[in-house]
Amino acid sequence: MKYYKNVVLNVESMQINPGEIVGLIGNNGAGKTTMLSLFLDLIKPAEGYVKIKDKNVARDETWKTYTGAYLNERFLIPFLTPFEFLTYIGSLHGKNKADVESFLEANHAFFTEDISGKYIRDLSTGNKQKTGILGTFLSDPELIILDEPFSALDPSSQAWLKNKLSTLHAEGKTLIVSSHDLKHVTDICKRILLIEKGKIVMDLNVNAETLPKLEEYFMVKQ
Amino acid sequence: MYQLFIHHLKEKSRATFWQKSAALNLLLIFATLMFIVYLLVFGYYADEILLEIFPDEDILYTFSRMLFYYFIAELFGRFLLQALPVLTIEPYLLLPVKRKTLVHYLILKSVPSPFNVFPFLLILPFFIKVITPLHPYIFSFQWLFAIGCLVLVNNFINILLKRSFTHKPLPVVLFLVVTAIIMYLDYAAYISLSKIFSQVLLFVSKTNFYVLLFVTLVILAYGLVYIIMLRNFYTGTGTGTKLRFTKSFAFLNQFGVTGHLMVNELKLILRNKRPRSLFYISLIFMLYGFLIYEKDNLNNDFILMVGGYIVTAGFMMNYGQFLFSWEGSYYPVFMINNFNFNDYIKAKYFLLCLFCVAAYLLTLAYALIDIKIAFIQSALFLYNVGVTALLLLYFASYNKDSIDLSRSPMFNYQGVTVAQFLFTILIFLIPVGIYLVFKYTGLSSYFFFFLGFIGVAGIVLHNRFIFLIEKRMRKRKYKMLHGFKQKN
Repeated sequence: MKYYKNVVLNVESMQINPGEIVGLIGNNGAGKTTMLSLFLDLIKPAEGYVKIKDKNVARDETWKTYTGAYLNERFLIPFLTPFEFLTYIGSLHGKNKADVESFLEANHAFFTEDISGKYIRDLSTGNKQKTGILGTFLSDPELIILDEPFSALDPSSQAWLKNKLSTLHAEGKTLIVSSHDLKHVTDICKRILLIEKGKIVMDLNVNAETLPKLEEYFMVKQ
Repeated sequence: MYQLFIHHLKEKSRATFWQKSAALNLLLIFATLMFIVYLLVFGYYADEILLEIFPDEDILYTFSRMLFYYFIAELFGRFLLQALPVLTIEPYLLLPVKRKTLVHYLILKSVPSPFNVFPFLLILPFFIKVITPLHPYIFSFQWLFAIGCLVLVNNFINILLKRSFTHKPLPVVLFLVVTAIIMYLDYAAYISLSKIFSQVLLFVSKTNFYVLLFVTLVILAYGLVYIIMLRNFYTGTGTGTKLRFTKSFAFLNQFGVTGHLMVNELKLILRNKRPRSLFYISLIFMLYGFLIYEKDNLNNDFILMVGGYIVTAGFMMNYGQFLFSWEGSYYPVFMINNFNFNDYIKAKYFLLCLFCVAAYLLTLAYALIDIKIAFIQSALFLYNVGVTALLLLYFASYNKDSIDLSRSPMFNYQGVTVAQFLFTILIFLIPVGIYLVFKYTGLSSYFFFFLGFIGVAGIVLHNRFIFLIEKRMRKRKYKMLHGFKQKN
């Protein structure tokens, strides 16, 4: 797949297998968000296609039934309270209010803020992000796509999220997570894609040497 | 302070407004010019109008009296329409700029506003035509100067009022009641505040240097605004907005995804400044009937049609032309979540219908003027639900500019495009066209039946149209997503 004029992203071919937990890393402007947006059919590739479960995302919408994704604030409805927003997302997946309440109960260590006291637009960046991330887990999806989920979180929430993602992986879900934090990705991901100037320059299986190797790679870049 | 104004000019000159297409700018400039000409002409003939109504009074005295009501009306208009002078102040808070300077700047920024120019457009023709030829220059100019001061006082009072009572309906009602009482006292000749006002104004103009009293008034008003703004400098940041309408419309939830989508959009309207103001303004539009349904007009089908149209479709048109743009800032939510796109569009259609039904029921009261109005409004109501709403929905799928929900709708052209402007006019011209056809074929008496009939046809066939719109929107998905992402 390719995306646009001065080619932002150019990937010959790649495959993510069911049950994999994949980390996407690369400097600003490398094409991470573009790639995730292509997965979600939010932009149209100039050439090529994206298939999930052998179905082209642009033609067949069934991926929406089993995919949860949060990329940025534009995936939140600003004038709803977090609770209203989550009930709404839940209702689209056949969950009622009580389901959402018990879901929040189960994850209440993550979202400590009052869930229905403020509009999303009045929340801090971190709490907005938490709302969005929780929204992706709500429907218990098979595929989860997150863009820099750790970026605005406090240390406890980061630890919680790492734990959560690992648990989901253990349950057999497929996860694609981009991040700038090499430590976090190498901790939780089993496979890492390093993107630079729109190309996948490294495709690594994570082991003990991965972190030092990546650190060295990005040091040299300076 | 000087630097701040330079920044302000840069902000204005670099605003996306100017990057709109030349055609749209021309259109807006034309509309503004029309308005200016309208004011000038009205001002020029003001003396003749007044002489007709008050033949025995001195013309200048009457005009000054009318100014009293003008200022009340102006204040009301300002309260509804003029934006508070706010500034993207955060970047300056960290810089070594004194807080006092910022406040002075904020207040002064409100002075070069169109609202402070309009009154002069109205008054200057009268001033040149009537006052200067009959009175000494010193008198004329003192009179004009006093009025200039009052315009400024109004400007500052408005800031005070807006700071204290934004979006509370009670003060507006109170204001109207007080005005009504003043007018009644005047009319019944108990106490005439307008006469007192006029006498003071003329006395001050006659006696040299008394106008300085008016300058004092300006300074007082300015000082008051300054003190209050300085005291409330930090409020409004970080406290968050109060929650509204948390439980309302729950009954709609039982209609599944469509119902839920409608609830969310109703919350969108009531919880965000721009659509909410639009909603309130549209309520005023409904009063238009009092102007239109006059005795003389009751036999004019064309005027009745226009009246019925405005009264029953007002809010639907105002809101509907920006459909999807309202949701521009979070449009991806609808693109990645699990629901049928058809339901999404259906929810929009039902919402437009809901507005129509509400407007129809509220304005049915006009039938008290003449029962014929009930018949006409019913025909237009059916037409609006069956035809106008679907057309609006179809044309709205061309929208690709996101709208900032938090800004005032006044003089705000965000989301307006030439195409969309033309569509709105086109939608309105269709019933006009039908009317002309019926008139010139001599079938006028069937006109309203026909409107109602195609309305019903549209309602019966709405699923087919929604399907067409859905197909279009799927095709335009990436264009819309891309357009909404652009910051403007």
